[in-house]
Amino acid sequence: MELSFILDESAFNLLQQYLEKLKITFSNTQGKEEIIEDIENRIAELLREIKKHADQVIVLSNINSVIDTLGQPEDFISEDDDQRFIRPEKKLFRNPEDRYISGIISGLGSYSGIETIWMRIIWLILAVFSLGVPIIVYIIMWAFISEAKTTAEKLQMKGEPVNISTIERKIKEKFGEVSEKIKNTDYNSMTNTIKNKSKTFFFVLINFLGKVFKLIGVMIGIQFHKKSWKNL
Amino acid sequence: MNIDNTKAQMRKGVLEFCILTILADKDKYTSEILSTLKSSKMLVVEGTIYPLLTRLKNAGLLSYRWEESTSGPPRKYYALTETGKLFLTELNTTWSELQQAVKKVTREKTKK
Repeated sequence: MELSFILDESAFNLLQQYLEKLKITFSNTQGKEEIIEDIENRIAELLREIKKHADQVIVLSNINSVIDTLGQPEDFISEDDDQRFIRPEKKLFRNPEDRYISGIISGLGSYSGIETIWMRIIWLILAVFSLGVPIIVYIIMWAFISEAKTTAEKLQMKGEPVNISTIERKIKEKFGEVSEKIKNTDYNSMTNTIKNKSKTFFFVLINFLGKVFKLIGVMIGIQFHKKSWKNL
Repeated sequence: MNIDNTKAQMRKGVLEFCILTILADKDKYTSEILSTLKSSKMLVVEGTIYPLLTRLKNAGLLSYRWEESTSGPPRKYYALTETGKLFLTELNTTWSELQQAVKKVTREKTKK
């Protein structure tokens, strides 16, 4: 029995969002693959009831009625299915949402409560003036500190309580971003922005180093100037 | 305190018991379980049942098998395991005790 459906664009986007939300909501639940697969099968079953003839296009209202029947993931996940409702303490993670290289500095920032920008500046200054020791420390941390992947980990990273309302908020934030990205799906420009972001950072870095060296150069120059002046 | 939340909690507590009862005499596939629960207003949204079925299966109370269907996608048929049957017998006792206790409490309340 072949099951295929033709969806219009808005219906497809909504269904995709719903499935994504399911995955996020159940990401820490035992047997999540099975639960999601069962729900996907049920969606197919419900769509089959909607589909009256072979080339009928599934539209937005069809998907909406399917979602009404199934309910929103946050309404039907139960707390005992979810193993992340404990552990309120803050944890050190690499922050994948705010990073130039690995997200360690912004993770440290979240952990210590120091603003990430200051953390970066402190780190840079240390790296420049203590002959690269912080760079080795950085690489070690990169290897041992894991990235905050799940919504719960991202909340833990910021020391926020992990419960259904904070998770919901996080998911909503994420969906805002995702739908924005879907709206302007121009992957070339997306990769360009990423590149530009790191370019700006390295540009700032080089610029900063350049200024430091210039300053050192000027100081040496002054010394030299003084000496040659004395010699006269 | 949210009344809908309390209602949902109450319903959730007996939902597992209901699923096991539905499967007591005959193996059923998910949509059949769903329609029984929905017709008796035990279930508001269908999604609730999926994590529950998986949990009951992982706990060894239920097992399932796939069966081809003539009118659609293959169906997942659930059945009670031996442990599931024992579990259900125990829940039955607890349920009738609970029912009587609640009846008694509410009756005494109305007497006063």
